Amino acid sequence: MKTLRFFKILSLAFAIMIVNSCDESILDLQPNAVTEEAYFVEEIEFERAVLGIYAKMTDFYWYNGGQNNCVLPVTLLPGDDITTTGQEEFEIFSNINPASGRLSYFYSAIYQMIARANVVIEKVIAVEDGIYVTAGRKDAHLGEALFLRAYGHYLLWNIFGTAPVRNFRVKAIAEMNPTSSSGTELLDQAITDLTEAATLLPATWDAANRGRVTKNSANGLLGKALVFKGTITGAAADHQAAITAFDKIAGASLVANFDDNHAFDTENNAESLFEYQATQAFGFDNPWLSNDFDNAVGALSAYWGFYSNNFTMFGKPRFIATQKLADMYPVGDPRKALTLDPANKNFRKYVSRDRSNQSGSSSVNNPRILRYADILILKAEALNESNGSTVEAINLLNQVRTRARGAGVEPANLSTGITDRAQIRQLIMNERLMELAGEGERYFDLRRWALGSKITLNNAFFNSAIPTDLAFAAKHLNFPIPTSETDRNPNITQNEGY
Amino acid sequence: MTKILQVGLLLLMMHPLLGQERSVTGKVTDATDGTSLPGVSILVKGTNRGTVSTSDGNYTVNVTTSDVLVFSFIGFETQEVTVGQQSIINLSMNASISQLSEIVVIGYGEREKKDLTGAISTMDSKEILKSTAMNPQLAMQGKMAGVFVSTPSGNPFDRPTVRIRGVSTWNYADPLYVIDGIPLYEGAQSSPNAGNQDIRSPLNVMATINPNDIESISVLKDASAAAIYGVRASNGVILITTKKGAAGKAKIDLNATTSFQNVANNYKMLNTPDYVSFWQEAYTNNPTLAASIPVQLQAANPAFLGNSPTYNWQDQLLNKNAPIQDYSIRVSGGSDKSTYSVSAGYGKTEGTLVGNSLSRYTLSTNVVSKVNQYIETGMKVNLSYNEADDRTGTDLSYVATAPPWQPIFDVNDPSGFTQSATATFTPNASFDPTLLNPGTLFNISNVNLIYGPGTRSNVFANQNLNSNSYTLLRTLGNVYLQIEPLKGLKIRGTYSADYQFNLRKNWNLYDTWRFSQTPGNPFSGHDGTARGSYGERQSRNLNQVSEVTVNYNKSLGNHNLDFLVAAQKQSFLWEFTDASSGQVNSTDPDLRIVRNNPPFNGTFTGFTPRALLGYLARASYNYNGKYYLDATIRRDGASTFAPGFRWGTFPSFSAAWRLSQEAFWQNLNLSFVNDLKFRGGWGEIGNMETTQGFSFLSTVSLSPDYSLGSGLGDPYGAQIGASALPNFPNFDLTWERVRTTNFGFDALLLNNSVSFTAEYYSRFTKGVIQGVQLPPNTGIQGSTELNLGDVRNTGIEIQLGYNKTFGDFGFNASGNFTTVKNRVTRTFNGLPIVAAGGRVEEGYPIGYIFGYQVGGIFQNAQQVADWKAANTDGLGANNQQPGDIYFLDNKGNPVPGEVYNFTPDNIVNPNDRTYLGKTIPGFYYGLTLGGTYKGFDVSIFFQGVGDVQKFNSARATGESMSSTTTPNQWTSVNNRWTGENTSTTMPRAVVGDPNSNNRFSNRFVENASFMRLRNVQIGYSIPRTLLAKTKAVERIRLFVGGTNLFTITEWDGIDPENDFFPISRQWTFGLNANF
Repeated sequence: MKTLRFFKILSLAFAIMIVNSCDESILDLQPNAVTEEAYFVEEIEFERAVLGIYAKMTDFYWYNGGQNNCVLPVTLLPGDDITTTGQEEFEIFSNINPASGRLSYFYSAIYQMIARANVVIEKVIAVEDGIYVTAGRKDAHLGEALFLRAYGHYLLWNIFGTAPVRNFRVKAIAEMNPTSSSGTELLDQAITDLTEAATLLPATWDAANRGRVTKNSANGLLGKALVFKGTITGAAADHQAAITAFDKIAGASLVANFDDNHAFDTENNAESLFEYQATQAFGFDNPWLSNDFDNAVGALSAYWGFYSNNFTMFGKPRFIATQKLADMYPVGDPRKALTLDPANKNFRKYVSRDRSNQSGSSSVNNPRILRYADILILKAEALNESNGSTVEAINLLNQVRTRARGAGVEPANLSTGITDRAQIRQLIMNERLMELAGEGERYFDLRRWALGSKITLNNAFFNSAIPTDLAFAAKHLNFPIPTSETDRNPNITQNEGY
Repeated sequence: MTKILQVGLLLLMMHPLLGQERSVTGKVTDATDGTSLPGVSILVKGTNRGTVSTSDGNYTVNVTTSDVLVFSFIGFETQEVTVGQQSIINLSMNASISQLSEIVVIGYGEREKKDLTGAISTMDSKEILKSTAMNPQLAMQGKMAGVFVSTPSGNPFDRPTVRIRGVSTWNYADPLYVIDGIPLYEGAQSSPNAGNQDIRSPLNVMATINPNDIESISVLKDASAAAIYGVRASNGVILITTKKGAAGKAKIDLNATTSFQNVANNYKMLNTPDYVSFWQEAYTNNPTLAASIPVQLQAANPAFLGNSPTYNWQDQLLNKNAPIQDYSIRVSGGSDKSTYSVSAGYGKTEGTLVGNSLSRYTLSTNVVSKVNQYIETGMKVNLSYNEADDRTGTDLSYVATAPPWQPIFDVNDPSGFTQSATATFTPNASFDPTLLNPGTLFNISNVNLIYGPGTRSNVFANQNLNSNSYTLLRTLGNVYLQIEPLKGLKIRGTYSADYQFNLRKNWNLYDTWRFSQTPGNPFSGHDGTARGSYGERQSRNLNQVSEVTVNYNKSLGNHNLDFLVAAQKQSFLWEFTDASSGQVNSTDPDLRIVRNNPPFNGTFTGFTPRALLGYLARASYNYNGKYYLDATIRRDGASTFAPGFRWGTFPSFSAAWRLSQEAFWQNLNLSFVNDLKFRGGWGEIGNMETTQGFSFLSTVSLSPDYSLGSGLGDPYGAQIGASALPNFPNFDLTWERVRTTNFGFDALLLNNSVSFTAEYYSRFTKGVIQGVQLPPNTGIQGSTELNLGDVRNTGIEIQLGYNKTFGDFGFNASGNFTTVKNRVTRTFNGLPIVAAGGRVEEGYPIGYIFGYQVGGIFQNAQQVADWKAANTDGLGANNQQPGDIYFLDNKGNPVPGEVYNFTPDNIVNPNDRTYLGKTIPGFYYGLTLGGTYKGFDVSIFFQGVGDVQKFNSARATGESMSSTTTPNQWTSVNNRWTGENTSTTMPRAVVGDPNSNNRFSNRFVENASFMRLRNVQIGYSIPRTLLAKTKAVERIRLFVGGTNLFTITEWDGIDPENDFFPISRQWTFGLNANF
């Protein structure tokens, strides 16, 4: 009987085990990560999401684990301001193709920035009362997200021309294959967003938030996008709208020292409207790991090694100024020596007053994206192209030249007596080259002027250090849509010629 | 339930007492030579009564007339003799060959080989012991049909790739390992995330299993065999059974081996003068870059290094005569009530490159006890402690391509090593150690690589001054309790656990920045006074399984039935903790700890949970050993999928027909056929390993950061944590399903001397989980997991054995041959993807090599002009010169929605890339030849793979002839095209590679087939008659062996399996003894 009782107990034990193992709730596990469902319930979470949009800009400026991965050459090299003796695709054009890893990375990063902005826009619009506690912060967040979404579309237009517009968050498989945009649709989206952003953004931020976009940033970029659009459409209305936007800029001024626009210790100054806030990750800013990798070691820096011939170039030739740029400056223009070394054309902006990150390979010196001098010259262009006052246009150029000369005499003011708009246009083009050389603006300008038939581009125009390798063609006014998109999205149309 | 038990008890109590006891004596001899056999176990069948033969082979045992005696001895065929009226029973025993009665572990049970219906390969401890590798995976290499095992490298803790019957998915395709019934799980094993893989550590956890402790390995290859393991079994199942004790007197087994390893080849590189003239030529050949020639290469420049001696870095890196030691001892025995086995082992293997070794300590115990007639309980525990030294930090190709002028040692440097870089340090005024981001005490600038842009990190200094080591402690074990209330009815409850604790310790001396090719600021991450950084990282795995199985076994005349039902609950938890500090103020190894020292410390933790519920049932029926039918069903629920998609049911069926048992067959008088069985099966199993889990959730990433507040002299601002939503949640994800079909036959021929198995298999994977990179316009960063691909693997397997004795000579041979045809049959929207190390595309094998095709080399300007007249090249600078490669224009621009346009467009661009080779071997094989003569034995083992290609990345560096980092080149570049020296295969040397000669093309794709003499062993067993006099020693075998003695291959490198951390050639000396 004793054995029997023992068996009963054992059988019971097994029965319990079987029942226990049937408990399906053990399958309901949670990942050790916050889910979207549980997020966006506090203002700080919105704040982090907004900063996440800005953080994506790191991808436009970091070393990216190799000088062949860094996307800066996409904007630096095609212009006639910067050249190199390396057979870089964006220098010689002939080998730019849809499989380019750098184009693909740039394209993806821009859309990722736009997607982050779209999430914030969706969440801020839907936010319940009581979550925002700081006055004005909700509007500011919406404004920042709209601004950065606009900046993304602005970049897409300048680089790819026909990339799809993305003005909402993708939430369904059916929304994944948009068609290409055409004309200035990308700019139009940017203009719409910037117009709204300008009404939402604060005029200034406190010191701790220095570097965030403001009303001035929005109006500046809005005007710039309108000038770019006007270049294509030829419509005076676009230029006039640009002037209206520029006129709303308040409190910005040219800094006395031209070089302060490219120095590590004078970031976010009075002239600055928008900068990428390069710094070093507090642990060890690792230029081989992306911003998205980790907080302590993911890169937060910008790479100026192309200009400084940093050791991370590993023998690859540096980027230098073109002879054309060196010859452009009037004798005695102080900008020349601050921009380049006339002896060897080594480029000096950003790297003559630089501060490296811990690795010594990248920099904490902010890339300036939009500054007041650019606005002044653009405004001159808008006036000139919309039958505005030539005197006012030339005076705007003279403001820039006055600052440039500092205490010297050169460059002398341009005569306000010039009335030939074609001549003024040329002066504007020259001034933009001298003032903005090597800041990633030049090819965007050349491209829109060529598309608007204001100039004709040819191999000689680029003044390359390796003219025999150069093979510019009209198709290069739009870089190819990367295969990463065309391979997956059957509705996209590749740009002509690729 | 209780009723059944009561009935069972009654039945058992009626056990009758039969017959009268008396004694039987006899002598056991070896049938081959008539010598007496000591140590043979003689048991009365169905009891634990018995004895063991004495040193002269004699025995005495008490029996009754109805008893059956079972004679068993390792290496001999077990025989049964009915006692009857005999009082003397002499028996000569035959050495065992591939036996029908061999017991095969099939998962939740065992079965005789003749009764198998599924596709199962096996190997036993004898074969395993021939390998000198520290893990059981390499011991399986080439031994079983359908089982492919790669040699990862000469690093003893690297993980081999194991693939069973092709590759069923382009994601995680490793088989499931089940050790003593415990399905293993290792955190992040299937994660494609590099960070997770790093935290997981490079240690092969299978190296914690001492091959000496393994009794047998069974590989379940088709679904009908593997379905019992459900959603984790789609890549096949490897069942490892460890040794247990046997009733009888205590036995001691001792194994000791020691080996020496060397690398068979190294790279032939240019010496300093040749290197200099080579790179001068390469710079001259590119007019636009000629001026950028590094000063170290300019003969007139004071920095010229061309007059330096040639330093041999490879010689310094190779670990010459690297030792392997392996010792193990096992004590086993038992009584009729309980058996035990206890073993201990120690092994240490150094890698073929310096700074690399693995040591292992193992303890294993296995106890089984019959509490009474109805209850059995048992416990197995394997303890293992591994220590790995992982300081190598480089590979052979990296050091081979160091500039030959760069020295290694410098007696004037305090470290004894030559530094690679210099830099300027300037005080940083804004340094503030009280801030979260304190900055650095000094800023770094003017970093200069002393030996030119090609300067290599002085890896030898790093090996000496830094350290990186791992320790892995593993406890793997189970306990069970089994009740057998009725004869044939077994109810068993088992609890199993596997706990792994992996600890990495990493020390980095700040002063080693000088030895780096990419030096960082040594003043970052501390207050400017520290000497180095130290970090510890733990990774902890806990895998718990509780299981109840009910097994009923019944024979009714010729009808044999076997039922199994089971419920299983498995929960996994992978956790990690990392702590590191930049502020370690001393270089003393005893003072390396992470102090609580903000802001210079870093910490992170994380965990990944998983759970699995499984219910399974198996029914087996056979009629008179003639007709067999098996059916299995398993239902699994996995936590990795969204509710509603968690549960899956996996059925399988198999059947066999033993033709040779049929009366009509026996009438045919085909006496050369001893046994013939046809079998076939179909089944479906799942694969949940390919999802990383939680794909149905949109998670928030907190890793982006931004900085605000810089200006007014402060360039840094304050770093602020940001967030993003990187994923696209997929609610519909469910597991991959693999359907397999298998049929074949097993035959024993020519008086059992030949065994032959041939099988055809087809494995179809449906819904391969594909991490799809959505179109970039969506801005979705993470890949989205979708069930969007199908793959088919088909092939045949042949296993052939021969075993025959000719007088004193014994000869045996066994061979296996497997073919694999792998085809992707469906991908996402029909579009190719990059995965599995290559390209995945419909109609092609997984991960095939895709690139440009070389057309030829321009021999003169006319050829260039002719080609350019018709073609343009979209990748190069389009300024082709004689000596450059021209590539084939195969295709044109595809129309949207199409992958290819087969009309050439005279533009060489990415459209023209094409199939260049496949990375999954089309066939592989193993062949073992063995012989015995008196006390001598010899075995020779060949292994090989064929029909496989590989991109030779070592050669792509060693013959690139273009990089501005001027790596040293293979001496084969002396055959390059130079104008005077023409070549049709090797282009000119030109820095910058303006024509993109180095684009990914078939130029560096090679045949990676090989056949290796994997193992040779010659042993001598001291005659038993001599040993018998010792009264203690039962068997002593001394042996000498060689591993990887030669390789036949067309591969142009060091080794087709690994060019970077080469595998070793070994000489082994060993001893096996039994007491």
